[in-house]
Amino acid sequence: MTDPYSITPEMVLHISKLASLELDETEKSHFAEELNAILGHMKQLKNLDTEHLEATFQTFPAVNVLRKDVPEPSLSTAEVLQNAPEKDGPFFKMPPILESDV
Amino acid sequence: MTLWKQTIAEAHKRLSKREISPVELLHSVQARIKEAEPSVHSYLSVFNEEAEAQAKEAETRLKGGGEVSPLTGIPLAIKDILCIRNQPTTCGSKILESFKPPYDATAITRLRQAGAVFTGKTNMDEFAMGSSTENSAFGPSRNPWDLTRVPGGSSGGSASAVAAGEALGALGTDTGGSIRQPASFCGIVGMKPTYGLVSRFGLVAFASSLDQIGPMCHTVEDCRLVLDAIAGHDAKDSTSATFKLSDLKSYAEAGKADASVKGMVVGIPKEFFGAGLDPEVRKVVMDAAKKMESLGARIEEVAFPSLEYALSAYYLIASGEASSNLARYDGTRYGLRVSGPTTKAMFTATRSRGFGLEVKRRIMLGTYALSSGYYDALYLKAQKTRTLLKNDLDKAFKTCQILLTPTSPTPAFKLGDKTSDPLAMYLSDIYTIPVNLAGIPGLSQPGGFSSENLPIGVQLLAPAFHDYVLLQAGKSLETALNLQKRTPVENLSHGNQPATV
Repeated sequence: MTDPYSITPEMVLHISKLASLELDETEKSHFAEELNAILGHMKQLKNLDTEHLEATFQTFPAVNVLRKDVPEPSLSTAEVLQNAPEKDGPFFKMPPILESDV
Repeated sequence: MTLWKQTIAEAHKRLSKREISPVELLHSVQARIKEAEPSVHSYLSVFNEEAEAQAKEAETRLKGGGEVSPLTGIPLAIKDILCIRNQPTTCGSKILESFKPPYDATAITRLRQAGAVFTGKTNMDEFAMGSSTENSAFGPSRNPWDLTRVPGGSSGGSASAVAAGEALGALGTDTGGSIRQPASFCGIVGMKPTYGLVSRFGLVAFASSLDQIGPMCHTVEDCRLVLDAIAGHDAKDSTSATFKLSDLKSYAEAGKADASVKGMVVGIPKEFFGAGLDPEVRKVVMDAAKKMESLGARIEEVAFPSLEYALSAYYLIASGEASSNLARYDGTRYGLRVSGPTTKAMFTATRSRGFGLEVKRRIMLGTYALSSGYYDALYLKAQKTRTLLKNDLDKAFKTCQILLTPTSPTPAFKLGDKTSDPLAMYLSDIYTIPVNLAGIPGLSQPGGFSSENLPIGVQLLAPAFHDYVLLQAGKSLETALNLQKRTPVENLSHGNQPATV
């Protein structure tokens, strides 16, 4: 595996696609430089011994929370759709999902 | 008497005696907003008719037509990351510029029940990512003590609003110091409660295992009054703690006039006083320690060796959680939509235009830390490092009831000073970050002033759910310090004009 504490412009491009962000050439090199500076600081973790430690994902004891299966009032369709950029009747309206539909 | 200069407790006293009315109080605050806002820019939206209606409703209650609480008729500002039904909730972002939530956050519901009046929504770094409000898509707020300086962040608008007298108190949110650092910079009191104490329902998520809502006010007592109103179990937040507020209060004597730190052991973690700490800040914290000692507390040096790893762990964890939480902004159900030929193209175009630079940077870092092949080395490593930090704190709290540290390494810095160096900006949260990683409560309160007349905050910490013990210690220190009540730039509309950045 390559060094996780350094990132190439190609990797930046790959990550931007995973995150659905489009970067122009300037942004791409800008982010590579900045992320490398930040990851350079984080490199201190590399030699930190954490082998026998459990991860703390939550500081609060996580328990599954269930409620009684009793119907309660919820938002109306109009309220749910009040912020929709585009809608059609009771639906959110979307562009085609598959490339082949375009 | 200038009504907007009162603390919440003072105003409550006068309101209950009917010496002043909630409408008069609101009008005084609104006039102050008009006067100060062109200089400080604390608000993203100001409520007029709605606030007037709330003040009138409070008046009815005070006349005997309903329940009166210490917050009835009190004008409060709300950080623009908390949902208020049918009011703009932008999170300081272009992507939510037009968003009006169809429901109230639980903290808002509780403030309504208490009879509070909402003055408006305050400015913030976009999605609470930042330490200066300079990442707001709608321009920065300014520090009322010196308009060429930042108010801190991300809850900088809430801090500058309270400091400038544009509200009697405010709600902020704190993921890595976003309540405490701006409170320190603006000379007010800010509290991050224990994770789980205040419901996060209706708080737009940044990093779900770290985010917490809390009060920002002029005094420790005022913070307690706001916390009393917003804390408590909520079935709508599955991380909300199930407890009785009265049980937590029974640990402390916060409400009593003679609340003290006598007999408490106050720990000073020596790693918090290393390189990078401004000597003036160090002196203010050390003076606070002496003050607590003179009140009968025992001061003890404790070790916190993992502090140096906190920033790295925090930025991997918070960015990882953020990249996941912010995936929802895709132009489908709310907020900005930039059209594209396909759904995927629409997502990418919307996010690329809607998010600002810092938000993109953190989404990138978080996505990287969670991506295949890097998860173990980065994200999981950070979560294990978090355990190390938590263990250090647990150990310190075996011998101490309270820890005393600086809130931020320096007083407020100048606008533009750190915008080109993200790492330098991140370092201003170095002393507040471990608190969120461990889930414990933290309080920043004024400790003194720098030679340039800038406020300097000190931070007090307590074990999880000892929030009222923390407030007790804070109140005791506040009374003993008896800081001369200084007002920031009084006549904000003349003379001290903001520099152009």
